Amino acid sequence: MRTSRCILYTALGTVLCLLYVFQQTEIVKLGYRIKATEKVLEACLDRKTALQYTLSSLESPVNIDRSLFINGDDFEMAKDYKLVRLGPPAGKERPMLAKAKSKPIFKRLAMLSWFSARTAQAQTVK
Amino acid sequence: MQPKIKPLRFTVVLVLFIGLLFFFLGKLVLFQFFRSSFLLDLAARQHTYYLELEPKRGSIFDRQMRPLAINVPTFSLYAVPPQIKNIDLIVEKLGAILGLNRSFVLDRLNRKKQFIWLARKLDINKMEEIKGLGLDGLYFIKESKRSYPNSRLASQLIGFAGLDNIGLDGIEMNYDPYLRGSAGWTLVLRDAKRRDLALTDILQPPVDGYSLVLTIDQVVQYITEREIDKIFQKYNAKGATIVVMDVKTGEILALANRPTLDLNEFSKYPVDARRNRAVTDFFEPGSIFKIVTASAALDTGKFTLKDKVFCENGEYRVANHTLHDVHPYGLLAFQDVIAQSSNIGTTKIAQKLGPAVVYDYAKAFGFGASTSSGLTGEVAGILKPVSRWSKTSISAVPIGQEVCVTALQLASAISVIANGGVYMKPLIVRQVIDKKGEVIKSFEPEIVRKVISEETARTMRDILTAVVEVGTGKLAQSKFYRLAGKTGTAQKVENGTYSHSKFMASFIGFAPVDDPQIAIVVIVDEPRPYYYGGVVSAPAFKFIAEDVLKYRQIRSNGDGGQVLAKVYER
Repeated sequence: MRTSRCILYTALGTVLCLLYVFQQTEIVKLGYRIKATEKVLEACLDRKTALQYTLSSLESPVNIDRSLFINGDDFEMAKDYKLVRLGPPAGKERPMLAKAKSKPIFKRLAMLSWFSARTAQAQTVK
Repeated sequence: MQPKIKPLRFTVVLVLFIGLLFFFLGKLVLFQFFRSSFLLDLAARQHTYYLELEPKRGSIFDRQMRPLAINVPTFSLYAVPPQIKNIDLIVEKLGAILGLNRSFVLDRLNRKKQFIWLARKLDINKMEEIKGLGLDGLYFIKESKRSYPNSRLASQLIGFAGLDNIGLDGIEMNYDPYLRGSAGWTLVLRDAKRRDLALTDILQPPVDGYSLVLTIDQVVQYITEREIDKIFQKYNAKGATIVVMDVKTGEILALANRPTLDLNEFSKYPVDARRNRAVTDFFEPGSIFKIVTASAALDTGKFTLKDKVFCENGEYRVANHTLHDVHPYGLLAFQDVIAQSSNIGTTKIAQKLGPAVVYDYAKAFGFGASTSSGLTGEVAGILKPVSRWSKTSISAVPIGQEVCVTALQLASAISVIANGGVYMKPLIVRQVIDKKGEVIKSFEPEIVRKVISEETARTMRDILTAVVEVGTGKLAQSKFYRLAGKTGTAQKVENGTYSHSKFMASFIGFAPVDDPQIAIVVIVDEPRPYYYGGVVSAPAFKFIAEDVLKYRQIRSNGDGGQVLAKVYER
């Protein structure tokens, strides 16, 4: 009886120790995965910053000027000008959008998924 | 019957085992209790290290939140020569991608070192291209590089930061304490292969630098730089400066200098190109200084528009000096003395005022003192106190000689007339914001002092409008707006005397006359072959004023549909 109890306790202790070791190795493995994911995230953020810089550079009037005049074309400021607005005035939403936004979101989603109206088809004019 | 165990052998073995047991027990006690701290420390040094967390330098934006200076991630390439298996392949590939010289790369890779730089601060595309090759022995270290998307826009104003992201000039330097941030640090755990594990605690997080929002408008700056390029090249000038200022707030909307530099390659340019001439260079203003004399005359009540001044038909002696006008004039109305820029008429006005009054008003207009703009290298200019005036100074100072001013001082001075008589402190930074966009510090427009009355300012606006409409500034006339200003053609001093071949051509003014919004100062140093302010600088003033006012009108007019409707109704 004493011997069997001793063996049982030893076995239990061994299992617990093994579980602890397993936990530690899993934590380390998780650490590697987190690190790899962090690297991917960092690379994405770096790429995003680089793209933002490229965008700012392209939008810069200095660079736009350079690309416009690269062929030696000469542009003149208009002698007179008009303001032409293609949409509704700034600050006011399009009526359809304003109407759409008044409906609850689930209703809008349902309408889009199952009850959406037929869209017009563009056809070639003969 | 069992064999008899010899007691001696048994004892020896037993003693041996007990001895071994005690030996190991002793070692255990030694490691556990006497050398534990040393071993723990050794293990910690092998498995952990302190890593400094670099803060992100703050960005610089224009007033519309368009970036003027930002940090971009770059990657510096290094090699570990002992790990390289195929040197020829590396030489060939790096030569194709980076344009590196074959002998340079070979020399570097053949060195018996563990770490060799090959190329610094490459952009992300080149890094990915090289990484994609999968070459052994090549690695990257990520670094941050200060980049300027507009390259040479407002170069001297913004300044630049060096390789280690410390501001070295301009706003980058002056506001470095805001932009820099502070580093943090963390304890990093690594495995037996020296790979970092994500099981760390950041012990002190880095504090990223704050960002600056300037008063500069990128579009106004571009318009200004476009015009300054034209006059700088057309007149083969030695230098040029243009300042555009909001007259009501003192905010600097644009500041351009020539020669200039590309901020992304600042080290390739001479020191001369880095100078912010608008504040570091002073010069004798010449006739544009007459606005001070005229304002003093009207504000003190000693002269009115109806008064007439006899201009001695072009020649007038003051002490031992003979003063001349460009054209001989007889009797001129007060307004025409300024409109036609008569030196003699202005001197006679100043003589009636007295040196003390002229000096006081010059001081009130901001001359002889720094504008406190906070820009690098700003000088106060020269305005001699009355006690140091000679007998001929009364004929020199009122017409802009024996006095030295900067372009920024002139912009502030002309703004006084434009805004109704108030001297506004020039502003270059609007706000300091954190990375979330919350305002940490705000710089509001500041009224320094009242210089002249509103009535005087109004009268001066009319006079300066006459300068453009009928006077020396006719080339500044615009079809779209009423503009006002003053021309200046000042001889430069050479070897102690006034030169007959070197001039400063200038024009200062504001627009539109009915409700002044912007003041513009155009200064051209040694233009050739023409040198009159009315010929060289006035047209640039006009083009800038027209385009800037159109731009501001479009920006402020949010309801374009109504404007279109009004046009059609007419």
